Amino acid sequence: AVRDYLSPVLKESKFKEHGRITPEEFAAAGDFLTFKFPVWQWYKGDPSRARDFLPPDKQYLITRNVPCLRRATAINYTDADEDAEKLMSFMDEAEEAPGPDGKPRKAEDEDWVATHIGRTSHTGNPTNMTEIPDISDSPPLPPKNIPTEGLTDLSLDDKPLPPQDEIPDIDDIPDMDDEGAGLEDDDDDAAVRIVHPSAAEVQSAAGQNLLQVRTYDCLISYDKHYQTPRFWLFGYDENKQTLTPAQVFQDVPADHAFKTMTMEAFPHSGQQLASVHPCKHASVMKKFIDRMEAAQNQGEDTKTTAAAGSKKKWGLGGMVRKVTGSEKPKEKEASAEDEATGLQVDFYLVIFLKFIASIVPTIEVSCEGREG
Amino acid sequence: MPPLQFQPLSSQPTPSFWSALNSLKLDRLKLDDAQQPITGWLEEGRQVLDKETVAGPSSTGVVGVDGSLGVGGGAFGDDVDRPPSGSIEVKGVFKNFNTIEEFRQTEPKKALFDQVTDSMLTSFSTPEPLLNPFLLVTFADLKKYVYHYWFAFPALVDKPGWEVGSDGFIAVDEKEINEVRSLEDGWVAKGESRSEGFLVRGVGGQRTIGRLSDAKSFFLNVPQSERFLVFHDTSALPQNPGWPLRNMLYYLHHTHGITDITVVCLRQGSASIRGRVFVPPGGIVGQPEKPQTVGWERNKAGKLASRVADLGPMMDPSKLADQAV
Repeated sequence: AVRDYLSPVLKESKFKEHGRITPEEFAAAGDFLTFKFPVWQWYKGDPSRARDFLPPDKQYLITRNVPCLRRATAINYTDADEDAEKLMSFMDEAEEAPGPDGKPRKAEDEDWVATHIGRTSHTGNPTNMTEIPDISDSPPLPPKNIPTEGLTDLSLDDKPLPPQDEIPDIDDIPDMDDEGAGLEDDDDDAAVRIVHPSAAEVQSAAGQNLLQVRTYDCLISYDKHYQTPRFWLFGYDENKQTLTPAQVFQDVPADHAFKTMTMEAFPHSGQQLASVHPCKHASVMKKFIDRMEAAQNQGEDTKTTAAAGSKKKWGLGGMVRKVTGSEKPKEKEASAEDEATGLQVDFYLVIFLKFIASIVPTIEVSCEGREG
Repeated sequence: MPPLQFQPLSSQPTPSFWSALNSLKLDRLKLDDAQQPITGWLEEGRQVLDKETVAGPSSTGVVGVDGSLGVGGGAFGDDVDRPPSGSIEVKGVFKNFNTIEEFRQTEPKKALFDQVTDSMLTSFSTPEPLLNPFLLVTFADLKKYVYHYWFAFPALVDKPGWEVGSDGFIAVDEKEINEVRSLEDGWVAKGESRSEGFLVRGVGGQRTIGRLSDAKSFFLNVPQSERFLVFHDTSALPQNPGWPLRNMLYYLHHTHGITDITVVCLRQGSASIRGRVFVPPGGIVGQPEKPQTVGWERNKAGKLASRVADLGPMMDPSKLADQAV
């Protein structure tokens, strides 16, 4: 119903002008995402925290257990140029097209990547980063500090991690030695003993394909202030136990950790989750959208001048095909008719996820169905 | 013949589960430590493509990601958070201890575990066998948002165990998987509830579906090669099916006399496998009145031990207030 209501006014929708969307548009884009990629689901969240400007059963979007095979440091997504390439590559359909204002594309890349606020040259050698010891279940954030300040202590520099002042309430943590005694006989031959490689083993056995596979719950909420979607992460380790904030930041390239990515309270539960700060989302999304539109317009021109039946498609149609992995534009949104009307707001979250994928490249949050 | 080994289940409580536990304890249970029903879900294992390694003779370029038993905000019956799409609902028993000392005692946990296995064994003679009930014991330190917890996935042990045919487990082609999945979907559309496993008989293209509890009549006069046990597999290992299969085989053998069947392990993507499993030639001997049971979840080191979830930094209002800008 929301989509029906929206369809006639889409052309005048403001999202193309400034990259921001209304709650209705968020709901519509979410409907499209969940329809197209059923791994995404709408959640109600905590009813007492429901935002009244969103439908009660469409408060936020979630996809569970997205795999993350390697730590960001193991892949070295730390170079700014590489990030820029990362951002660009999702649009390779539109690659040859000039920017919307006719300027060469490269000049603009700076802007795109400038989502990291206050980015300073980061000299730390990320490969030396120490694994947070397993014992600490959750390094408590220093209570009196602003969270980001506190987290900077856990930063990715090559200096050793600062010792934690104290582990609070250590007397509460029971001694586990005899806990399992007498519970069951230990002679079960028919069980595979799960032993996941430790971080040290993974590092020492480079090249042997040992992996610590983490999984992430990825959430998208609507940020009322910035009028954009906002992306959140909650992680589990290879034993499906909760990751600490410090561990989560191992999966975020150093360029973004503690800068664009910080720990903040998730509005629908109040829990602290890692989140990409949305202050630059609107401008980045606008650039993405502009570029796609420009590419598409140019595609239209090319199409009219090119020989009929040319297979080459530009912009959105190609984009959708790429994202959905289908060879032919079988869905109506990819039909020539829709291409003519330009980018629709339904695609907003699909584009948004492509943008997010450039920030957390190790977490395969692409919108690909799990059903191969 | 190689013995059949099962990949143990892993538990995966979500953050909203702990919130649900908080409100259950504060608003409903208070000091009541009676056991409660709980609902969770099983997720199929899957394979993901590892973009960093190139497929070659030593590596296929795919990485297995095991499924798990998840519990979420709806675990205690509240109408929130649906389980992930494609997951299977499972029921269990939950008990919260009021003190850490009680939580640490072995006897109450053992008694609870025995009670769950007893109810499972009793249910085997009814038309609705309870195949994979789980158990969760907790101690919640609500002031600090620290939760001690321990899951158990009770399994009945067959001795000697089942064996795998000489071919081991092999990949199943997609057509076959699509056929059994659509059989199940059709079944669910008719009102049957989706469960961990079901039976299929017949040759490709003309298969029919049936309940585990109808095994005797369903497989009557069906040749061995056309008997299939299909289940939603939480494992992603190439040669090991997941834990939930264990009790299904136990049930099929001890209640319905099945000794030889082809198992189809449904997994996400193209990770599904199948293999023939059978009771060893001498049969399962010396089955006592009360079979050995196993299933307490092990920790990282493979030891029997409870786990701790410290959500203090995520949930504590006083800490959050300090952090609020």
